[in-house]
Amino acid sequence: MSDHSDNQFDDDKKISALYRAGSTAQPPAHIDQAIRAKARRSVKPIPQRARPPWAMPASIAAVLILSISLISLIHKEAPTVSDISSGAPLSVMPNEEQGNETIAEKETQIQRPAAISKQKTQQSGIEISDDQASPEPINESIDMLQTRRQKTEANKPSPLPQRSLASTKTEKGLAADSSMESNNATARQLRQRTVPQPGSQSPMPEFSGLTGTAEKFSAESKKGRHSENTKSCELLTHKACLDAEECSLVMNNQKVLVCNRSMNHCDAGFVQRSDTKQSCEAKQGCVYVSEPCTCPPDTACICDKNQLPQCQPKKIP
Amino acid sequence: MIHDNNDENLMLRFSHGDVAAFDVLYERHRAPLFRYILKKTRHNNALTEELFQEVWSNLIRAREQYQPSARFSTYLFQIARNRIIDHVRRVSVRPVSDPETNHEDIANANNHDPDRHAHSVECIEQLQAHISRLPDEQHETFILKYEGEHNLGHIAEITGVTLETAKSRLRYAMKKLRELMPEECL
Repeated sequence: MSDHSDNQFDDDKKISALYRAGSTAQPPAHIDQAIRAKARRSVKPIPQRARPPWAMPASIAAVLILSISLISLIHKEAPTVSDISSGAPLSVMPNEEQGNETIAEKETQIQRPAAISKQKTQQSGIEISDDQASPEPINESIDMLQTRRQKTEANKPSPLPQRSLASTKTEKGLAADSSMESNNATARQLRQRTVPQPGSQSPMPEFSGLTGTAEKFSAESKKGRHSENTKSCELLTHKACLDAEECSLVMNNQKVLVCNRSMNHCDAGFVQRSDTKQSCEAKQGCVYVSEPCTCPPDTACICDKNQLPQCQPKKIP
Repeated sequence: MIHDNNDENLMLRFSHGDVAAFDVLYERHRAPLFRYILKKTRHNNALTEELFQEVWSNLIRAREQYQPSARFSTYLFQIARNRIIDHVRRVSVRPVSDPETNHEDIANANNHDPDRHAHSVECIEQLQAHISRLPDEQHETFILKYEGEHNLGHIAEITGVTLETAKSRLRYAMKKLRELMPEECL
């Protein structure tokens, strides 16, 4: 059995050897060359295009130009309160129907508080130069006025040393009819600016003159528009403040009456002097509150029957 | 230059653009592949050259897709086998044996000993004739075993059969050749 297997193995080896002996065929040389050439062609590196030397500086310059133009565009399209107070023209959307007169009128209205300051300053005995009396940026006028008043109050003996600037303003404001008129004009101006004219686009938040919803107020507040008139409210007399829809007369922690810009959808549009409980509570989530109003002695107090009506958001228990 | 020069590494190098690696691979496999195709086409030289070029062209074209999941020679012979099958399907004619075409091969073998030469040539001719008459499966298995120097596992992989089937085909082929070959040749 093993001999038979060995024979078979030997035979297989001989067959294999014979086969290999007869297998000497080779591919022709021209085929070898053709195949090798094809392999070389297939891996021939593709020459990379070199970047031109000006590519990098040009791209940097393009990025810089784009950035600068974008920044300047943003600055142009979003003016701040400081832009307005610096005397720059308002970037309100010009209404084609109203024309240039309306824009000019609005600019005059903005400048009017400066005139009020001038009048008040003259009444309080402070001499100001023509340059200062001329229409100035609102912020500068207010700050300057407040600083000077504080200095004046500190220097001259006062029967009411604790009197606040606000109450002083009230006193002075009520004493002078012209000042009252100016203040009322400012209140009207505020109302005009906030109440949208029929058929015109108002640059101010829509909630101002209407029964605005909380959502609208919130949305507009986020845009930061309502903060533009905060300074204007401070300029009002208490009486004018009570008539202004955009402002609310409130008693602060120091028991001093201050005219604040409306801070929520409830007091926005609420005229403290004339609006009723019903008109307040007609707004969703608002409650009418009549807070006690105490005035310092010897002052022409605005509090009517010692009550100061407020329209506030309902407090969630 | 080429340190780790097994077939698979050479092919990977070629796929990354190393032409020298291809030259080594080609030199290593050109003759066995050519003879495999030659035997499969039953010594049709023109067809063999055409298919031989096609196989290498396919390999060059698909070099970037090469994955060393199998032995390179298995991969190469699979391409060759598929090309031959495609050709047979295309012409729908079984390759015709042409034993006369391999006289040159036989004449080239053992030509250093004139006495043995005549005997060997005769034996080789007989062997070639018997091999060409083998059934296709056995014929292919025999060529892959002795031409491509593949083991049975690789033959099974190339031909797409089980190891047992490949082993069985080779056993039958060898048995038949032993029976047919004259004793003086063995």
